[in-house]
Parts: sequence; structure tokens; C-alpha cells
Amino acid sequence: MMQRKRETARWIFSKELKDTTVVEETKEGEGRPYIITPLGTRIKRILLCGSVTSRNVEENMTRLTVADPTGSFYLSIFQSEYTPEVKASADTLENNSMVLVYGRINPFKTNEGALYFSVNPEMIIRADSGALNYWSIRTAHLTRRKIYAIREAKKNGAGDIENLVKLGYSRDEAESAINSLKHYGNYNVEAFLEALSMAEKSLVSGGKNAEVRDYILGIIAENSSDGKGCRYEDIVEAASKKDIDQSTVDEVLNILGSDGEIFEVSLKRYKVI
Amino acid sequence: MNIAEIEGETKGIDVTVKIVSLKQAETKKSSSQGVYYYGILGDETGTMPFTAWNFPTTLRQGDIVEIRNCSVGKYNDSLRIYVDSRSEVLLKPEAEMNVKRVYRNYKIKNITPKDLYISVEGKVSDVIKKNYEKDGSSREVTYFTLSDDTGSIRVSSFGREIMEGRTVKIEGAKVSEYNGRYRLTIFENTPVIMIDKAFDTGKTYDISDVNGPVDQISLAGFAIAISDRSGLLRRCNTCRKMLDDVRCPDHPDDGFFLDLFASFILTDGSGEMHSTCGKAVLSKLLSLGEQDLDPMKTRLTKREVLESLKKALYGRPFLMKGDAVQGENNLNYRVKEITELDEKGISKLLLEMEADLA
Repeated sequence: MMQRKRETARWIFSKELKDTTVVEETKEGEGRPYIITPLGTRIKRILLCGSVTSRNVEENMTRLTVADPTGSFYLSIFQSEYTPEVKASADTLENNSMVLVYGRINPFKTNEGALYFSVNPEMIIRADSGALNYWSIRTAHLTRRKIYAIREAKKNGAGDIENLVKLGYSRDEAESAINSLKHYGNYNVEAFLEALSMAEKSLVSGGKNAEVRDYILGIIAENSSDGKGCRYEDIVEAASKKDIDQSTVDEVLNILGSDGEIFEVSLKRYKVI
Repeated sequence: MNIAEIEGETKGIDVTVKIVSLKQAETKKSSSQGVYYYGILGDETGTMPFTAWNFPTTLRQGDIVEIRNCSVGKYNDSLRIYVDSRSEVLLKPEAEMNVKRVYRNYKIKNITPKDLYISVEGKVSDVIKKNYEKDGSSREVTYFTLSDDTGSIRVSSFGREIMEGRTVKIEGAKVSEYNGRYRLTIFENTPVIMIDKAFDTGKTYDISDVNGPVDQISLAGFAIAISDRSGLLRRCNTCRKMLDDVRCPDHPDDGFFLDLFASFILTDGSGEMHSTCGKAVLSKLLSLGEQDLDPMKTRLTKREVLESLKKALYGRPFLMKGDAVQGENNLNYRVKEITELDEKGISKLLLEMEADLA
């Protein structure tokens, strides 16, 4: 019996999915269609990482919005007798929870003809800032390579897969570049590169946030030995000595709370778990 | 025309060559079935691979032939002589010829048995000597690992002395496949030249770059789709087969031991690879000791271990080191080391990725 090939989960930023306008036609019984993104990626399945920015839990369906460094993915998780754990995982998430998700892309067209994409997760896993950092850096690298391949293909008119492979691009990247030129000849890849640079800058500041997070965690641990918890005012004062403003302290306290690193013992008093 | 004079793709040429190696394969077309021949042809000036769609079945390795009206094309980036129905192959029974062997240089990751004899460079490690019997006398074989900046391969050396830690160039190593892995064999007369070269063996590869079996290769990514077969297993003490029950159907009285196993998909954005790892990796990852795996003492259940495994592997980026082995349908990555990627590890990967884009 011939083994059915597993559909590879591609790593793309939300911007690449949001800017997509091409959905391949399918014959009856072929299942979900492939979509072709502006960077030429032909996909059905995706692996994404980000933090939950909104959630709407209902009995039969949970909707999540997950933000990555370039925008948001929209997730729809249905109650299923085959994979009940997926909705159960989704229902335990809170805003700011970081997640790693792989799932299938579901295109839908409005009556006005606008095309939108949601993701139907097959797996939702809680992740941490290290996972988000790695996924973002890696996805930025893969995206940049696809854009460079498109640039090379443009130099050569319609492009040639074998030439791109000789230049060091994988066959997959070369095919993507040709797909991009075929379906999105006028797509502004330079604007995408700018968006990538912005995303990478936000990742660097995210790295700084990790240092701030460790520092604040240290302050709370040092000042909560009396059992009453560390006072919010003491955290803000200690943070100001390191040039960390109050709004950053608030943001980090929220993240530490949702990650289960600290809890609020009483009003505005925190303890490390 | 001699082999050295062939510089590019051409048609309608005549060559007189020795058949250095000759193999037969079947064409795989749904509409028709047939055989074709391939191997190496050579003359006093060099060698070149060939494919013959039409070839006299009486010809053997070592025969000297004149091939009229053949063509030269490119396959896998190297030139190859093609013999088809328009070509004429004439045996030259009286002729003699000393073939000058030239071998294509391969990086270890790109080695393929399609090129039977190759030239390869690398650093020697894990040298082991063993004795075997042949024709009533004891002979020595040396096994060692050869590593370059793309991966490693095991080599068997029959009658050729090899020193641990040396960096060498081997010319004319024979490629073979055994249990889904590629292997090299060298003999007494195989040239092994000491070279002064350093290899950076720590590079992390994209999954899409791994196209064939290769040992000791580093990959990074997320583990997804951990199989429910993973976790704690019972194996027969005698045949080591995985047991559904506490008794082996073939050795019911021999008892069992507990083992750890994980099967999952590794994804890095460039592709996915089916991966497995065993007790050595997992006992460390799950902080399990010998006592936890003692059937008489353990309180662990299969479900608990599977849950711990999912908790340990899911949602975290890992750097893995292991062997890519050819399975029945696709490559399997047998993981031998696994490390969670911390900030330092991610920064190192970022530098590698930036160098790749430069």
C-alpha cells in the first residue's frame, strides 16, 4: 500500500498569510485547497508561534487571535470527538499566553469577495519566550531567503528553477520564487523586507524585555520572604533605578502572572511561585 | 575522442573505453517495463559514468568496447555518457587498456551509491580494529568514522593502516548501503593521503538539505506529533522485540525489560523529518534512573511517561545530533543527543543563518 505523504507544516508570518489572494481550485473529494502566498509558498498546513491577544470561548467553538511580530493569526477551534484535547488546550489559555500551534489553513470568501484565512489547529501547545524568539528568528530567515530568491528570479525575467538552485537556493525556495512571479508579479517584496526589519527590531527589544523580566522576578523573590509578598511600590522603585519605567513594570508583571511565574498574594503584593 | 577531451554536453561522438563497472536496473514506467545499464567507463585519460538504454547483454565488466554515436549529457551536475538505440557498441576482444581512475570529490552529506567510487576528505575518529577469518587465515579490518563539515560516515578498511585523529583524503573509496546507512570501504591499494585541513563539524543543517543517509548531523527545530507508541516500552529479554503484553509470543518464559522510546516529527520550517530516540537520550531528558526502569521497582505507567515526554518535548526549540538513516519510505533521524536551545544557542544559530545569507 502506498503511504500517504504527510503535508508539511510551513513556518510563515501572519503578514504572508494576510496578503494572500490565491487559492488553488480543488476537485470534489480533494479536501482543502492549497493556497499560494505572495512569496510563492504553496501551503495547506502551518506552524505558528505567538501570544494570545483575544479569546472567545463557546461550547462548540473557541476563537483565538494570536499575534506574531508582523500581525495576527485567527484561530478557530471546533469541538471534535476525535481531537477533544485541542479545544480543551485552547480553553485553558489566557490573554498573553504564548502558544505554538500547528494546524490547517481554512480560506473563506465573504459575499463581497474579500478573502480571509483562519487556522484550524491540530495541536496547541503552551510555549515560552525562548520558543517565540526561535520561531520568529527562524521564520524571518526563511522569509528573507524566499524574498532574495524572488529578487534573483526577477533579474532573470520569469526566472528559472535550475538557475536558482545553482545559486544555492533549495528547490522549494526556487519553486516558491517562480510561483510568486507567476501569481503576484506586482507584489512589493521590498515593503515585506521592511516589515521584516521592523519585526526583527521588536524581537531585539523583546530580548531586552527578557532581561527586565528576570530582573523584576529577582526583586520579587528577594522582597517576599516575609510571606506577605513584595509590594508593587517597591518593584517600581527598584525598577526605576535601572531606568525601567512603570508601564514596562506593569506589562512584565502581567506576563509573569499569565506565565504562572508569580501570583498576587493580596492587592498589589506579589510572590514568586 | 578520449575521456579527458570531453568538456561538455555533446552528441554523436565515438569513444573506445574499458567497462570499469557495470550494473543493470529496471525502468520504472507504468506503461512499459524494461532494463537499462549504468556504471563507469574509462580509458588512459580518465573515467566517466554512463547510462545505456541499449547495450549488448553479453558484455562484462573489464571488456573494452568501441562505442559509436553516443552522446554526453549532464546528470546530477556531472557529465555522463549516454548510449541509446542510435549508438553502436563493438567489443574489442584483443585490445588492452590501463584506465586512469579519477574520482569525483564528495562532501560526506552528498555521498550517494549512484557514484560507486569516490574521493572524500575528513578527520578520522573512533578507530576500532577487529580480526576476521578468510581462506583459513586471520586478517585484520579497521573500522573508523570519517567526518567533514557536513557529516560523518563509517569506513571499513581492509589492509590499510589508519591513525586516529588524522585528517585524510581518500581516493577511490567504495560506496555501499547497509541497513539504511551509507558506508565506505577501502582496501590495501586505496590511496589515503594525509592532508592539513580543519573541518568545522558543528554546523546546524536545514532539514531540506538532508537528502540521503548521513551520520552525526545537527538539526534544530520543534518536536511535533509525538506518536502514542512513545514512552515506556516492554521488550523481550531475548529477542528485544516490543511486547504488547508481559510475555513474548516467541520466548514466553524469558521475561522482559523496560525501555524508553520516542517517535516524533522534527520541523524547522524548511521541512520535516521523522525522528526517533531511545533510552540514552530520554532517560536524561526525563531525569529517569535505572530504578525507574526496573520492572520490579518502578511505579511509572506508560501513560505517565508519555505525558512527561510531551511536556518535555513540546513547545520548546531543541538542537539535536544524530544519524539520518534511510527507512522504507523516507529518511529517519535517529537522535543521539538533544539539548534545549537557550538564548546562547539561538544566538549561535542566528549567526549561522546570517552567514548563510551573506
